[in-house]
Amino acid sequence: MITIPTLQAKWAFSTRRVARADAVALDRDVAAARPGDLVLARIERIGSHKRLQLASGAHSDLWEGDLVVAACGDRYAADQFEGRGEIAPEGCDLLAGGGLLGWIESRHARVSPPTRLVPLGRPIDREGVALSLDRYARPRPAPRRPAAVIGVVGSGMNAGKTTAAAALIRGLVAAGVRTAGLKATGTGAFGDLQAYEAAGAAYAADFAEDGLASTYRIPAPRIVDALDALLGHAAAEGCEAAVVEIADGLLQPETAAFLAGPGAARVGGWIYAAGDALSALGGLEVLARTGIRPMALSGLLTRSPLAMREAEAASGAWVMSRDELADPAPAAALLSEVRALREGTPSERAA
Amino acid sequence: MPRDLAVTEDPAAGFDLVLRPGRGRRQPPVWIASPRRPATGARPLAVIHGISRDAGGIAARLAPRAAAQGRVLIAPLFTAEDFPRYQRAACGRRSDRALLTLLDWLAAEGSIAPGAVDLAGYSGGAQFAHRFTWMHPNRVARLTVAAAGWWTFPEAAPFPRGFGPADAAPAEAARWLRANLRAFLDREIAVAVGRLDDAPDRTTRSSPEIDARQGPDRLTRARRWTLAMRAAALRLALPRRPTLTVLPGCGHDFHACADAGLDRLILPDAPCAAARPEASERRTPA
Repeated sequence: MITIPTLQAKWAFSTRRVARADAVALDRDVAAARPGDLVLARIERIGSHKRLQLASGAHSDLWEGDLVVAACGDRYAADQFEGRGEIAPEGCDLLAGGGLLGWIESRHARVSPPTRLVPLGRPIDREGVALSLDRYARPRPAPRRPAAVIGVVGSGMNAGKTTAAAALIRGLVAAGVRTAGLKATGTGAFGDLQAYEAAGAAYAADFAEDGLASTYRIPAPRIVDALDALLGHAAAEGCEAAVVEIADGLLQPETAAFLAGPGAARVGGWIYAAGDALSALGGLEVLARTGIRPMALSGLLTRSPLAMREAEAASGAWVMSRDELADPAPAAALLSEVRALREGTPSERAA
Repeated sequence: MPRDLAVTEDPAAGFDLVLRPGRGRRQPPVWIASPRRPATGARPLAVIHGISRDAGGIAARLAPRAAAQGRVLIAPLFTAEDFPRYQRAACGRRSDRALLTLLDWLAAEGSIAPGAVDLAGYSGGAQFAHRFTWMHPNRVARLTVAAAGWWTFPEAAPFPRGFGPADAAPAEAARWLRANLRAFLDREIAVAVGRLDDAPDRTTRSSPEIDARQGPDRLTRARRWTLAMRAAALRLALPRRPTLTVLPGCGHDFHACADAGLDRLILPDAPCAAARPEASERRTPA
C-alpha cells in the first residue's frame, strides 16, 4: 500500500541511511515534525539553494514542483542561514543543500532568500510511526577509540577546517597510519565526507551515522555520545588514528560547549584553522581559556605567506600549510605528539 | 612506461632479480628480488646503498638469503643526478618522499606486501635509513644501519647533526625528529660497523663539530650514536635498546661486512622476532 509519491521524490543526502521502503503513507500533521523527522515537500520557489545533494552524494538541480524528502533540523551557518527545525503547514525553507528543512531566523546579507517549499506530510511506516533519522542510526559499536584522536577546530565557517582535516588525513595515511575522518558537529554535507575519503580515510562519517540531522541546539551530552559512536566505528574499522572536525567557529554554542566539556577529553591534540593572523591570535586566547593549546595553526591564513609569518611571529605556534599537513613526515610528528600527550610520557618537543 | 630489465633468470637462484626504471625525482629506479617461493606474511626488506650507489650489487648479495626466507628485497637507486644529497632524507629533493612513493607504488601493484617494511642501509644508506625511519616511524618495522659516515643525534645540534633548528630545507625537519624520537626508538634497531673501519678516509665527513661530538671515524661514531640512542631510550623508559655489532676483520666494504655477518643482522633467521634488550656492543652474530 504505497499511497505517497515518495518514489518520485528526490531523497536528500541527510536521508541516506533511511530505508525508503519503510515509507508507506503520509501523516499530514507536518507541524508535529521534530529535528530528525523526515518531511516530504514540494519545491515552490527556487532561492539560495538551486541544487540538492542526493543520498548518493550527487547534486541534483532543483525545479519548481520537484518533490523532496529531507530531514527537519536546525541550521547554524554564519555565512548563510540560521534556521530552526520547525515546519509550518503553509511553507518551509531549505536550510542546507544536504537536505535540512525548517524556517529561516536570519540570513547573511549577501545570501539570497532561501528556496521555499510546501510541506506535504511526514512519511510514516505501516504502524503509522513517523520516519526519523535516529531510527536508522548505525548500531552502537563497542566503546573503543582509535589510539590517536586529532581535532580540527576553526575561527569560523570557511576558515579552512575541512581542507586542514583532509590534508592531515592524507599525511597520516601516507605515513602508514590507517585513519578515519569524522565530523562531530555542524550540518551534514556530502562534500566534507567526500574530502575525507578522497584523502584516503579508511572510514568517513558524521553525526548522521548516529541519527542526527544537525547538531545545532542539540544538548552537548548527545553530541559527545554521537562522537563516541563514531570513534567506536572507526576503531572497529581498524583505524589507528581519527581526525575529528568540529564545525563552525570557537564561539558557536555547541563548539564552545564541546571544547569546555567532556567532548574535548576525547581529543588528544588539536589543529586550529584560522582565516587570518588576528583571528589566529584571538582563537588561541579563546582556546587557552579551556586549557587547549593547539599543536599547530593552519587554515585559510596559510594561503598567504605573509599572514603565515605574521601568525607565527605573533603566536610562536607551528603554522602548517595544507601541503605540510599532507606531508607524511610532519603528520607523523603530530601523531607522535598526540601519543606523548595521551600517555603523559616525556616529549622531546621544544617548548 | 619502460619495462623491467630482467637480470637473473637462473632457475636455481630461488629468486628473480629485475631493475625497474624510475620516474625522475618522484620515484627512483629500484632493484627487486622476488622469491620464487614467497612466505606468507613475510615483511619486505628495503636496502639503501651508500655513496657508491651500488644498489644492484647490494641486492644481488642479499637476494639469496632473502629468497631463502621467502622475502621480497628491494634496493632503490638514488641517482646522483636526481638525489645528490639523498643521505639526509629530508633534503631539498626529499628522498624520503621518493621512497614512500616507491613503496606505495610497489604495494599497489602487488610487488610487495602493504604495510611497514624492514629497512637497512650501509654507509650513506645508513645515514638515509636512520633519518627516514626517524621521520616515518610507522613505515619501518625493523632497522639495520651499518657504517654510517655520520649520524643525527638526539640533541639540540642543528639538523642533520641533531634535531635542533637548521637552515637546511625543509626547515621543520628537526621539529619532526624531535617529536618522533619515542616512536623511532620503539623498535628493533641494529647498528653495525667494521672493526677495521676505524680511521677516517677521503669520504668521511669531517668538521670540528662532528669530530668533537661523534668522533673521527665510523667505528667511534657508531659507538657514540648507539650509546646516545640507548640513553635516550632509557630516558623515555622504552623497553628496547639499539644494539651495536662490531664486525671483525672488515673495514669500510659492504661485501666484506656482509660476509662477516652483516647479512645475518639485516636478515636474521627469525626475521620477525621481537628484539631482546642486550649489551650495547656485541661481536658478529652467531
